[in-house]
Amino acid sequence: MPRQCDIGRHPAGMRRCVHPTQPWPRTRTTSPSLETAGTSLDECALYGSVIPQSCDGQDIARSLARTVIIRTRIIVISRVMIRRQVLQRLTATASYGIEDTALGLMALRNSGADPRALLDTQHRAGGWSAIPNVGPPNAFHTSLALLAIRPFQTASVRYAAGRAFERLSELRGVESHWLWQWKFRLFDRQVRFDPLKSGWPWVPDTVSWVAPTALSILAFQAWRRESRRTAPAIAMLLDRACPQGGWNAGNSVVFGVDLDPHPDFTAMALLALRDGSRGYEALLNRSLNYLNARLEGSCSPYSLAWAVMALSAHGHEGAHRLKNRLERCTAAKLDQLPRRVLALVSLALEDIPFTFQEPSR
Amino acid sequence: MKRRSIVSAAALAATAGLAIHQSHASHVPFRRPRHSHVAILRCDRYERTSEVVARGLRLVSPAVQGKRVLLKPNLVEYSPAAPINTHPMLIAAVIDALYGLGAATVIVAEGPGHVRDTDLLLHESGLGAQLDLLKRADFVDLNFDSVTRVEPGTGLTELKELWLPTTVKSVDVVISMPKIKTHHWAGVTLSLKNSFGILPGGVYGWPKNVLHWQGIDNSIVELAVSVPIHFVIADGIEAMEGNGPLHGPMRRLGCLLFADDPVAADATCCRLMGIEPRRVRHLQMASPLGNLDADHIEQRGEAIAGVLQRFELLPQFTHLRRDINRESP
Repeated sequence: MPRQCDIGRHPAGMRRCVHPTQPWPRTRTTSPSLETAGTSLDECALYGSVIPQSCDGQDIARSLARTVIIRTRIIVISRVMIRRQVLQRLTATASYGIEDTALGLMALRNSGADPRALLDTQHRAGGWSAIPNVGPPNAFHTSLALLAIRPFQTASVRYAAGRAFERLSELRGVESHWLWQWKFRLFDRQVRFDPLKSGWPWVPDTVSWVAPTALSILAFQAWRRESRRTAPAIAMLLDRACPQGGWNAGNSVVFGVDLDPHPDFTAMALLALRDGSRGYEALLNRSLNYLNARLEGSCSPYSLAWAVMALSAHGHEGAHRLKNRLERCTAAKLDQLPRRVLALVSLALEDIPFTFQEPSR
Repeated sequence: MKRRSIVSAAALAATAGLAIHQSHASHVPFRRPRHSHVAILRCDRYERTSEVVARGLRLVSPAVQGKRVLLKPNLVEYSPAAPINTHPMLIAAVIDALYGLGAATVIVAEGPGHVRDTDLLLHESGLGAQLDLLKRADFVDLNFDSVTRVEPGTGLTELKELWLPTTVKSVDVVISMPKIKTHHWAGVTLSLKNSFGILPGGVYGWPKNVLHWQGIDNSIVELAVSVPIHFVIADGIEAMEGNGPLHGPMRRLGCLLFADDPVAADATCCRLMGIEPRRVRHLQMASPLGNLDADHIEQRGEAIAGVLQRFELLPQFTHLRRDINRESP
């Protein structure tokens, strides 16, 4: 049924614009201070696409402006409330593993969080593993920890970071070795990639993948550390992008088939490439547009949070819309979200979404 | 003289290598039952799975009464264009049937190999909606579960330790629910390969690349020893051929397979796909764990010959092809 605004008479004598299917309200729907003829015209704008002739231009402009202000206020209030709820749950949820601890520390960095719990779990070898005392240190969790302790510039943090960067510099994808480079160039060619461009692996003694490489680049950038490793790592990310834009876990074409990108890996790569990809604007735009479109209709706070941070870092217009969606989806699933997701949501819902590049305090 | 020395040294090295390789085979513990039971039941569409699952479970009689049961489906990533994952309706039917058989608890658990966002995958694959509807089984994301250290039992890999999800180690019965597919690295992906999803991505990454670097076949057998599979319910209604496990075309095999031995289950699935199971390296290596040989598999339901189809294989796996004319059911 087409929407239509008719000017009617309120029983109390107010001029009001009504939707044909909408009965007159029994109680006031707006605050008394705003209850004027103009306020009731707000509903003209809210109700419909058909603007009544009797609503003059100035009235409509005023009413639209007021609508926008009211809606913005509601959004801001709901955002603050949801973020507060997320932070409350975050502080009440226990950590299991370094990803939980590191992301939690980032999210609570302005709320009196203490980096000591994370520092205490650093390996003697310098890095961090997924879970304290489980396996050797790896690039993904070492980078996350480095990003998390970055705002806390104490002597112990700087010392821990120095050791962690040493460890991070030692970790590398096996394809960086000349012997493997020859193997991948000559014989093992089902997976299309340039072995001369390498980054960081998930686990020592395996090849480079997108997520650990992107986070390692972010860690070096956030700490403003120069490294000969970052340039080939950025080249590796650009080389491994999917033909249609975005990033899969680490490869783009396998056995001649284009792989599909994933939202979280795409977001991580986009964050890492924010400053270092001149000449690749078309690829970045394709990837941003993929990310924006991919989460249309999905309600997963984890992917939405990563997407909001990446789109926002690149100033993409879709960030705002996805942020609103993230709020709604978070509100609906708040009780089920694990700590690492709560932390990511909190970071994404900050006034300016977190981009892992915040200057130290 | 010098050339002779080099040839001798090379021969010695080759013999030593072969000896080491052979000694590895003996590290796989002998758990092969005298006879295994496999049932193949025709099922042409997922809407019919409830009745077929009930019949299938009667034929292999899994001992689940009063037990904590873990269902391990194959949930890798979602594509609307390809039958990648074990169908949610089949999983729901199995949950219902297991409670009907007196299971104390049924858990669905998976650590998707390519995807960190399991929430998104559950939603898009439809499994989340099925589980919400059923309200009888929790889903555990094994990628982020707490972990328990396990000593690798076979020595087939160089891994000094395996970190396995606590949930998997705490249940009484593990039921593997693979999708019947060809696989571009392993030849086939069935119940044994399905165990890759048990390893926590939180520790091993996405994908679990360390298993590839340790040798896919070696890793499959290592996991089969460390996490014994008690029963198999394989989804062969819509299977995948060619460039599996993600990009092959759908092959309508039109059956479900039930088994009390993962090796026998995978061997039978291979036979249904027109593949000789002894030529699949990881199945050959896993033969001490179960029955590869059709003579030791008690076949129930449909005969293999009645369901068998010739699956497309990638060129590197055409040697797996079975001579169907010499098929002995």
